[in-house]
Amino acid sequence: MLFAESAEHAELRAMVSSFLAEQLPERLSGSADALDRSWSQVVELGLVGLLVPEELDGQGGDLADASVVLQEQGACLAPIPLLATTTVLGALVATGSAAGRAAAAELCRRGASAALAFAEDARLDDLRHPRTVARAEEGGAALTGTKRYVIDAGTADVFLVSASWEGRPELFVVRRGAGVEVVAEPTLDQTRPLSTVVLDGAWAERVSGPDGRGVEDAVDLLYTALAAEAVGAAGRCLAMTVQHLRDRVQFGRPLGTFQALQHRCADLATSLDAATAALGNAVRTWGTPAHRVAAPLAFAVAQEAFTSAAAETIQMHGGIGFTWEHDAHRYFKRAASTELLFGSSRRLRRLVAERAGLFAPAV
Amino acid sequence: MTTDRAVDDLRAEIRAWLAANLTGDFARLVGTGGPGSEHEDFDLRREWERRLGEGRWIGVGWPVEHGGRGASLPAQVAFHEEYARAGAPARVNHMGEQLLGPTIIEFGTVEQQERFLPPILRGEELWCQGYSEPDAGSDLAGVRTRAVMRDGRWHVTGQKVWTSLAQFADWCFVLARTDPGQERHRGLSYLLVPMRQEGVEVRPIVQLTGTSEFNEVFFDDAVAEEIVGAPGDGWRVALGTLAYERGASTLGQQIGFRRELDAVFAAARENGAIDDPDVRDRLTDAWIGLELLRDQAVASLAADGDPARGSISKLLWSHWHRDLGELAVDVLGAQGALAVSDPYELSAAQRLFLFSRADTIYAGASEIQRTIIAERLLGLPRGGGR
Repeated sequence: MLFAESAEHAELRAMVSSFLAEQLPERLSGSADALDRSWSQVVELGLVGLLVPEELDGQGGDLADASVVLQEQGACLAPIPLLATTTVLGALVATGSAAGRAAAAELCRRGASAALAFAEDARLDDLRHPRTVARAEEGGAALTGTKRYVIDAGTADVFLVSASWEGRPELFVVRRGAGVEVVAEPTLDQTRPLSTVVLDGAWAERVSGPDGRGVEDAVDLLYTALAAEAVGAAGRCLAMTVQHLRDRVQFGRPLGTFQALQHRCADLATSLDAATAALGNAVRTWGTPAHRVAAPLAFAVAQEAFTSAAAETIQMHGGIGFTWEHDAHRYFKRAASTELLFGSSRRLRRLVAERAGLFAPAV
Repeated sequence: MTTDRAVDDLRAEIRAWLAANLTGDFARLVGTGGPGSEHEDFDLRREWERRLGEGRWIGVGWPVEHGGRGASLPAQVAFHEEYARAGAPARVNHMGEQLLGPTIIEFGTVEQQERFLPPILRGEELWCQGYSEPDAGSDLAGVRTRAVMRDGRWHVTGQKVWTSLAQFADWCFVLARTDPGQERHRGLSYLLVPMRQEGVEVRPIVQLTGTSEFNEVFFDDAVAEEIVGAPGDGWRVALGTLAYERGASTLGQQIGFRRELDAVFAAARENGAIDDPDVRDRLTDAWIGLELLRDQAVASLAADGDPARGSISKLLWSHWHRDLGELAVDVLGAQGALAVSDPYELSAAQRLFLFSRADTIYAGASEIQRTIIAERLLGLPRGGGR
């Protein structure tokens, strides 16, 4: 652990970590019963509704708590829809709309899992310009369009969807049912289920905040959640690698005594430390204008730290790092897949520059 | 960042004091001094140090019983931030205030505390650090400067190098070998040597900037009457000095960094380099890098003072600063290949570019910092041959 944390967070972290370690083999077996069971336990442990206040039947935690949980989920690449559900719940509450808050409360009461359905094709900017259309209908809307690369759609009871409403991208809640077809896709990263979700006149509730806000805020929260996951995963990669360097003996001494390897580990620790600090800043600024810069910044930096840590983990493990049996490839693929799905760090850095107004014409 | 009343009060107090005192003759000191520019207006900055002493602004973090204000870490940060914000000149007695003073407080006798602390607090005695030698840089335990006891006093002979401001210092704290029978970090002692005596000669080293901040110091049977800690205890005392958290001043350092970054942005706007997408990406990276320095320093204040974490800070800021130096001249393009005038006057961007090459070397080279991180923070086994 690179930073000291509060006793409460340390306790939460330990609890989540051991729970996930127990759950993993069951979850990977993939049976529907096993998935349901582990999700029920996650709900029971109070890990899901952290971003929902108690008066809405949530846990009444904050983003700092959720960050700890998501870091641990990232650390073991746990294939449970915790990131998706946490983000959806947090986004719903953050809209401030009556419909958004009511939806969050309902999801918490039901112990439902959710998925964020924003992306449509391989381009990043469609997150802000959805082609999925929302047409006004009795008390709500009917959504038509195709969402792709939806994380954890297979187990989701509910979808948070971005759709074009009166020419603006707005937020809608769609329940699994008529007009919703979920098609699971084969994936490069088998720890992260992805699906295509086809909406054909699916009934939806509009949950946007004032002035139709919600989509960008939800994406920023997603960036923060992904940053937490990346920090946890990078930390686990570094720990695995350090342990390997201590155990593995070649040329009559542990690999960790070779300075070149020591220094590369030090560089990983340094970038992880900076990423953890940036994550802390993003967590602290959620709900304020500063979050618009802090979130993509944290994600860009955390993603870079994760990508290097995962790559170095394979490299420093030598031959066994290249096998299916060893976990190294799973982290490598998670890092690569996240970057492919959500944009390269260079694009994210340009987003930071844009939001910080670095190149706005001088006044 | 949450602040408490004491921090806010100190911040307000120093802000007001600086506004009232960085005036008149002292006004021209704004922005002067600092790495690569230590020669700037030194005499007046020495006087400024005395003025700071009158205002009780030296030793802000020192315990109250030793003449300081006992300020908390966040309060010290606030002091450094305001000092930097006002563009107040680089201090002339960093060695005395930040290194020797705390060492005497921790390891010195009561007599030594009474003799040496007040003149530092009054800005009257300046100190330099006698650690590195030509054959002992990163490997400090290899020091060969010798000190022998004769007639109740230590007689020091040897050579120190990379001694900042030795030409101005009144005293030098010297790590010397007092027991020739012992090797490496054993048999070393921490001696206090008056600089203005016959056996001490200072020779400036010219750096690649053409300026001389650093010196060689030759001790030829120089006399020292004070030893801090017991003979043979020098390594422990010296390491105690090195471990002192510099975190408090790094947040003030970042205000200077912000100024430098703003200047690079301004230069890029002025000559149109800012329209180059590649330059924009690098400017973005520099901006993000500074945000990370701040986030990391803020997080470090909350964490414990593990010296190994200071290694991460040092790696981050020194490499950031070096990258900024490269960006600063790249923005100038071919114009960056021309000096300002003979005999070797350089622009601020060029000075930043050249002097920042030292950032990754002094105060613990990056290679050493990485080894510290690897061994002490990550728990990797100690490298071969050590």
